[in-house]
Amino acid sequence: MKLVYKYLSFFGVGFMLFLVLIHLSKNPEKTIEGEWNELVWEYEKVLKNDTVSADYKAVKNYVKDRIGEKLVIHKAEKWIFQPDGKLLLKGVDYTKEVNWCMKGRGNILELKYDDNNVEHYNLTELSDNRLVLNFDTDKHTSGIARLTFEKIN
Amino acid sequence: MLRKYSNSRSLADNIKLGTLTAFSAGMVNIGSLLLFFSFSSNVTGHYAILASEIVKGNFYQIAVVFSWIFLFFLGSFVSNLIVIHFNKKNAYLAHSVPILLEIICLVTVGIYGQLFYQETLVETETLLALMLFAMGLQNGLTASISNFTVKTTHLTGTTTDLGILFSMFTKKEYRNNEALKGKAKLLLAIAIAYLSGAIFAGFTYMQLGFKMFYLVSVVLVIIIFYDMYKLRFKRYIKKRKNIKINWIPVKEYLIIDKEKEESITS
Repeated sequence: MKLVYKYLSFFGVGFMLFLVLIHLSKNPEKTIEGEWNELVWEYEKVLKNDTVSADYKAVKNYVKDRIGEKLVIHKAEKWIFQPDGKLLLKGVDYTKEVNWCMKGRGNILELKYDDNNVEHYNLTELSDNRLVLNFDTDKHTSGIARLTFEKIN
Repeated sequence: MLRKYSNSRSLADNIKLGTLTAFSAGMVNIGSLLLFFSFSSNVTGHYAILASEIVKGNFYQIAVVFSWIFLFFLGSFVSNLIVIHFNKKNAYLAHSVPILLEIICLVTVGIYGQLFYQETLVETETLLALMLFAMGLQNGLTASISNFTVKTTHLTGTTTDLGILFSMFTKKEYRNNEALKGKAKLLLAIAIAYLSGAIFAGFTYMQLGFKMFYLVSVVLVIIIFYDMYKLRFKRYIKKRKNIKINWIPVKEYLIIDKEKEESITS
């Protein structure tokens, strides 16, 4: 076989492999679209004694209040990702619309709100019925927090 | 900086090429990290990510990361292909074309990012792919023309070599070795330039955004024009010397001619 054909087939195989992988997979932007319900907030450095002294009913609420107090997602319990890049955050007597997009290889979720503030979350897991977000908390409560969702619609 | 090839290159040539390309690579890498949340000038991390995505079975991410690594490889392949096939015809042109292609890639990223970018995942991944191809081109070129001495898009090898050299300098025989001292100077210059480029990009990212890639392109244009200027300057000096050399015979010829004329008229 001529050298040129050898090289062409090498690059062709690489290109075909890419096409096959893309064909087998689903774009994360499509997977995330829909309605997600917040299941649990976890924080690696949570002190259970704090939850007792502060009279929190559950560790989940304590973590959410402590870690998420400065985040736009704080009051939300239901997340609705729309295909037009809008995200509806719904809670009890609370609705907020923000913009969403994905960065990197689809492993970063970026949320932008009206005043051009931006928040970034690591998409640790994304399947048809489960979504896990991780994020670094601020200096006040330095550490890694995790939010888990289930798909409801 | 670009004209000379392999062993005919001096330490100064390599330091100039190394610092300017490392500065641009540092800027591109931090630019891509801040804008797209992924590195674009080093692929070691991408190999680790590829392995982890294979373990998780995420086909989409496997395809994307595989294509990024493949494009870095393709960039290096294209660069060296141009150098080895056109080096004998016109060394300067053969060494400039990969840089020109890199500029085209980076300017495309800048223009698209500034005017058309809608922040979709496909756009992000495609622009990153273009940047990885550009970095492959640059790394392939610098390594190829410097006999694998100058590699500027990642610092793993540079840091390893610096560690080895610094340990060698604990012995007097190596400390006085000019070649080793020169190599240490070159590697230090590359590391400092890369870091400076990265810091500069980090500070200017908020103001410049995608315009940062035009600035990187300017640095690359300097690399191309530096040699063009030197070539033209040398040609100009040579021409001037030739004019001076030829001036005397012409003058003499004119005098002789005049004498002839006078003798004929008399």
